[in-house]
Amino acid sequence: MSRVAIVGSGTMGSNLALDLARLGHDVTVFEKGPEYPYPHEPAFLAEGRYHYENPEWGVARDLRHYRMTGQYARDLSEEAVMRVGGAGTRWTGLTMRMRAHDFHTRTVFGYGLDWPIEYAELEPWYCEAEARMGVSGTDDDNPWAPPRSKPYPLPPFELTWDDHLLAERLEKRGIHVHTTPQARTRHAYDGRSGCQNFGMCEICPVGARYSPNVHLQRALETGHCRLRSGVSVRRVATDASGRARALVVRDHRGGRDEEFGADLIVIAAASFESARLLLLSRDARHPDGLGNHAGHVGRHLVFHHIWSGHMHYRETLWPGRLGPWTGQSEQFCNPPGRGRFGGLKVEFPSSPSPSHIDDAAGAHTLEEAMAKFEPIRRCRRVALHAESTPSDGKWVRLGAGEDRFGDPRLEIHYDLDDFDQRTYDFSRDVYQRFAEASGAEFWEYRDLTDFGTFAHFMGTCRMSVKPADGVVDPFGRVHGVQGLYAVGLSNFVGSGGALNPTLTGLALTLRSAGRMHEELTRG
Amino acid sequence: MSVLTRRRFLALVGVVVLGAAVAVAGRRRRRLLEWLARPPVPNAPVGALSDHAQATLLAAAHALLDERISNEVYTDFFTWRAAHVPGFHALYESFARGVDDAARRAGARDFAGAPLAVRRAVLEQLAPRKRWAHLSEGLLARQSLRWSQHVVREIFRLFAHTDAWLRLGYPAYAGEPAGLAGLDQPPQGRS
Repeated sequence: MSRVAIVGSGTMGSNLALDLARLGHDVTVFEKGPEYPYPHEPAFLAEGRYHYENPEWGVARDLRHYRMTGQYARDLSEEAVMRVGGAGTRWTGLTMRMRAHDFHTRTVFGYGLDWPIEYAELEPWYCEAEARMGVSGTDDDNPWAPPRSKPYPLPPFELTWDDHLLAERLEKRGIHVHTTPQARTRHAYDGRSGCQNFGMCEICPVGARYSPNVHLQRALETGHCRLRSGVSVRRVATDASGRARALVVRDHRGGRDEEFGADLIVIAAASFESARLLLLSRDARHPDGLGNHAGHVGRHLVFHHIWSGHMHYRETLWPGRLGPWTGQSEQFCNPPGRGRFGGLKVEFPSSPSPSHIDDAAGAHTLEEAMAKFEPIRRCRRVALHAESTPSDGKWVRLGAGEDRFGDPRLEIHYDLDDFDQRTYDFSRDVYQRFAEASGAEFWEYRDLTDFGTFAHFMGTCRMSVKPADGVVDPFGRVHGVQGLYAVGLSNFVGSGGALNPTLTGLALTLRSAGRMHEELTRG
Repeated sequence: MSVLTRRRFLALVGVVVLGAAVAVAGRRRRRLLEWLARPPVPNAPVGALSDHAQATLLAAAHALLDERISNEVYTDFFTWRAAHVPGFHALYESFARGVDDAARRAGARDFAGAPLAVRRAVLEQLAPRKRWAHLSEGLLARQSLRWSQHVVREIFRLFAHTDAWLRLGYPAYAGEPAGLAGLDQPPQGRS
């Protein structure tokens, strides 16, 4: 029985743990964050009903603080979720596939780099990832959907009343709105209950929205998998031949460093922590860190950029009745002119605007509170989910300052470039077109640098065929280091277009699991 | 004509000094302002909220909103937070004592038993104010600012998450299982 160490218990790490444990390997998952109850009802109650974010479900700041420079204004130390289940415990569950041309932006559009794999190669793994997560959806109403070899596992969430109204108006002006594939159970599926519409999908209390914890639990039930939470992995140690042989770990509850030997080590710790661990693992043979002989670790960081705004209507639309999102449009993912600027996806988040809640909370009287809250019935948030591309101003590296154990903090630098500026300009045009076509009375839109990321952090361990061009091979094997993989969104070559990346990350990871098994059984 | 009292003068001086400090504080500026405008609740043991504090908090919610609110939502909210969130048991009990004292000064037996006008007058002192006022209170009247931010404001916030939706005509609010039926139509009886 081979010994496997996985760093990170998020969507990628938990699914790998399940696959490798089922194949009979002895798997240990290391997670920096604490245990997090699944189903997430305790967190749902605490945060959703009682407005309390329990600090016990996060990591102390002296173990997760990033130094940030550049234009990104939000706190990435807060956005990077560290707990058992990782970022998969808190996400919207939108699960799109990349399009064939998104793998070839250099060849087709003249920017970025081509991926070393094709859509067709990944397609069966997309099917597997959709089955794993329980994706509800249809391509019947989406003319831009890529080819698929299997239907969605579950039927779609139909457009709600407000989305339907907007879709009708937009259709008349040449804009097509369609349903949204999502990892949320339209009905009971694979031991998970069907969606009951609790309205707070980011912390689903019943497991209808996919959380990797369900698969981590199943991995643990095999008897071949163990979880160690509240543990920092400080280094990957290599042997004299340069092969990865052990993790150096430190329990947050005290004690000394310990070595955990393994036949195979997989880093599945999301873009920031994966890059940091490779950089921290420098030794005589790898003075710049593992996989970093060509200087690519951390260098190709890229986010999705989400610019959003609110459109206000005269009539009542009744938004916010359904937690899951229903409508979106992929019409602008591949627009004429792509290459000079990036494509984007238009989303209609169904959640209420926090600003209306905040306004009402600041009221002095009931009447004032209602007056401030009432526009919520006539207001829709619209988000433009834009692709980006790596550039010299986007990177992570070891920086100044140290964490609790004396290891350098990660410095994250993010500056927008001309491509991003042009993409923003395009997004403004699209947004205005939506507003006018849907009959909005007035609207507002965010400024260029006021963007979110939905925690889509990609590219710090880019895949490449040649070791000189990236950090890992197309299966996630770290170039130049036997027995070591890094998987997940960190492997992306650019942002993968404008579509949400998690499904692609899981498809890549499931594809890698077979290769890891081969490697382990080959000895 | 308003008089600049010594207390207010000192508060304004404090704000000016702090403003200068804040201006050079760079990335920490937002946190400092937040600390001033919304004083954190000091750590203290959790505990079971007394019946009196429960009644006082509900009476405050009635005075700020009205008596048609869903009482159990508000009572459950404060009871749970007192029992689970460090510091809030002590905060709620101190709020009850504070508004009781104010109500007694106005001739009432206690806050919960006071006429609506008295309760509203007491709470008016805790109503959200402009930011600069928060900053000066953040220096000199942190406990009443805590009550304002963590009790009064939270009552309005809870309302915006719950009853406000029902009053606008929504059949449910987020947090309760609303089901998936009929979502392709406006709420029943609405258009």
